[in-house]
Amino acid sequence: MSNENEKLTTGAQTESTMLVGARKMTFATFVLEYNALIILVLLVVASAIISPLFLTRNNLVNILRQQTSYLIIAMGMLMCLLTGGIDLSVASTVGFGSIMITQLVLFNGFGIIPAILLTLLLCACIGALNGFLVAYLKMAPFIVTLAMSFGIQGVVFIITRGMNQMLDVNKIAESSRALVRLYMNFGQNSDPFIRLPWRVYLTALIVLFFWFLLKYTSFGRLSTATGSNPVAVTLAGINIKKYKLTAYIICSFLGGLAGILITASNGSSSPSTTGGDYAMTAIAGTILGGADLGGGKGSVPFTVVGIFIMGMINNIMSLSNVPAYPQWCVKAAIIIFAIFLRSVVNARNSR
Amino acid sequence: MKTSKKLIAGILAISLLFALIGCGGSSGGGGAAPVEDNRSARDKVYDLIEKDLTAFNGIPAKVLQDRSGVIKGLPVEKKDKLTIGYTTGSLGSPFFVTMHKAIEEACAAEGHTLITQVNNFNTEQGLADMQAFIVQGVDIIFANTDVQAASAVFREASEAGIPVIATSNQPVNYDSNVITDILSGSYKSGFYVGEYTAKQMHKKGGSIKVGFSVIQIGSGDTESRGNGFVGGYLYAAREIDGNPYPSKWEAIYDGYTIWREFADKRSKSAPELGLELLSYGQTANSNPDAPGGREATEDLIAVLPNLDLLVVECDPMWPGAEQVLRENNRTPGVDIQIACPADGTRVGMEALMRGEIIAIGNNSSRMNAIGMMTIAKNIFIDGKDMNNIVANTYTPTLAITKENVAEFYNPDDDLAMGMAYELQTVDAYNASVSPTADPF
Repeated sequence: MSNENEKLTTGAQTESTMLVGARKMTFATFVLEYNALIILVLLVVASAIISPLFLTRNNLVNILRQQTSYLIIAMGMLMCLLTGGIDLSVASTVGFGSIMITQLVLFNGFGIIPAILLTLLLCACIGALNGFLVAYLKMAPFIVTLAMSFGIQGVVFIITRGMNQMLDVNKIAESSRALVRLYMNFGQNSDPFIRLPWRVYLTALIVLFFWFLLKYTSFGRLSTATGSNPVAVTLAGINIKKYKLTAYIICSFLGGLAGILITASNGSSSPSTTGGDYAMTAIAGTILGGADLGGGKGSVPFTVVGIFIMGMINNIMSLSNVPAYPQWCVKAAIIIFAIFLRSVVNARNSR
Repeated sequence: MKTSKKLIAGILAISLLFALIGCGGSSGGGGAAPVEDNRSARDKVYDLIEKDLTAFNGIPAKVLQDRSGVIKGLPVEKKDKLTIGYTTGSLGSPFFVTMHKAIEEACAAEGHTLITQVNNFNTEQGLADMQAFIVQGVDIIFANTDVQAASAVFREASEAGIPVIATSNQPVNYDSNVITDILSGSYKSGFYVGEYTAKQMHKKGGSIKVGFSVIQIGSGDTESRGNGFVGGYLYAAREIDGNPYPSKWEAIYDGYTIWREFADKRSKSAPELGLELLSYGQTANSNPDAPGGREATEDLIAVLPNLDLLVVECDPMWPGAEQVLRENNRTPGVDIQIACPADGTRVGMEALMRGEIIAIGNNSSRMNAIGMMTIAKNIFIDGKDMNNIVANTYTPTLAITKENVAEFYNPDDDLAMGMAYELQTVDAYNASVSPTADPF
């Protein structure tokens, strides 16, 4: 220790170092630990160089708007991953949430607020079922949620008979139209001052909420502990099943909320929303942001970074007119590189 | 005790889900038609269209509303060289490849810049593609995506001064912010194929056993083609029986009643009308290609060995369906007949020429491309007024049969030659509608 202090005093250093807690963080370690953030910054710089349109207001607002659904879903996916689980049914739940709004409002005479509340309740029930099967019956989350994904998709297609539905205010009771219009305005329009889409504000609130929940509440810390060391948590007398169950409820609830927002922004719902890439993008973004498939690791800020990495890759390739199919290869390469860095970090940390 | 409470919670959740299935019958489709004997068949059909538009793509509207007040990114400054942003659902089937190729060739010939993105029928990707085109400031957007979900982005583009032409399988409302939506007249192609098939297969007083291999029940193309096929078959069958319908409207109405029940319950027997619709199979992932044809046909043929007729929704699915038939010792054109309400691919027409397929509905995507390029030229180069074009422009169609296949077949082209058509204004359309004539 004294030798190290002397090094710092005399400035005779062979590499940049800084003391972090009881552990040195070298430059290499810094790069590995914060690789997601560095990749994001590099992407922004590269994008700005490749296309002068990237840093335009319109484009940045587009990116924010396009990532709102993924960010909301990713918060729920992070909760599942932290507890050592995964939820592959979330895309189907998004579709379920999306079509239930039009079904309830157009065909069952619900007002928009009761429709939203009921939809969220039903989605939470889906999560409860997932969580019950995983936490209490100890079934493998991958298989259970994959099977649920098919089941929910089937229910969606049964309810809609495979048809898209436009949320046409002319087809609902006059007394309900104003609120339905408000709901669609919320999904489609922006605030009149800085002209950010309203859904971006909602997403920011949700992200902030989960950041606070995970960082400053015992629930958040115990949810993380459930995944990182379930044996120790159980021995401490904590009921880990409750945390796992709650994680799945939150994930499906947020999936339903994302679906409700999609219907608001599109003004219509489609059963094919169940086949969207929401689950895979949310998982990839969360893992890119440092979450561990084994549980116990992950943070809200870096999950946000991961989701934006995914979104920006799509955006810059569109702006620079990269043909569609090579885009997939480029995306895969970037994700694999980021995961590789993550695995190097994990290997170093475990040593 | 706690475990039993959780069990109850789980059972409650499952019950809620199944309750939804139980109450899910009220979605979308028209259900039973109102029984009002004093209304004309035409009025009853338009009432059905109001409730279930997806099943009638291509039936001309009763009257169209004026669109000149809808924002469509017009007028624009004249210019000779355009930058066109084109988002397409796929480049994996002859229909979409032909459309893209036709646009590409036209752009190359006229010196336009074409930016193509493939959204793989992913709605969010289609919207993102269009938003990127708006940022890039393209002159015009060609959009092959979910036109209902994209309505907000269409408005955004129009407000940014960028006209949009959609091409999809769903009609748009009159107030959609597109110049027009160019789409297949799927009902008509189904009707013509059904009509021709009945002339070949229906015997007076007889009935045939029919199965359908479709893309996806509920989608615009499947519903319209299937519904049209049944309507056309009934129309011709009644003529053969010596009891013709007074007009096509009655056949369309009866056809829908049968189709709707068949699509909802997967079976509908109407031997008195000449049809026993035994079952349908559909693709796993809405893929209109050979693997999709296999998926849609496999279980169907296994459980229904005595089909007289297999209706394969579109002929890109035919190679997969054909394989399944041969694996099950059925010989198309010999012990089972085949009809395809769409599209007119080279492979399909060659099978038709060999006698394996009875008829194919002409659905040339080249005509979609020509329509889009013509509108772009009219707006930017010729300065023509395109502000009040009909919201939905249906490409013309007919049944390709052994009698006329030579007019449409070209061994160097993956898709049949199409038929020319004119873009129509709302006023011209309304002036042409006759309340007494057949719809087509």
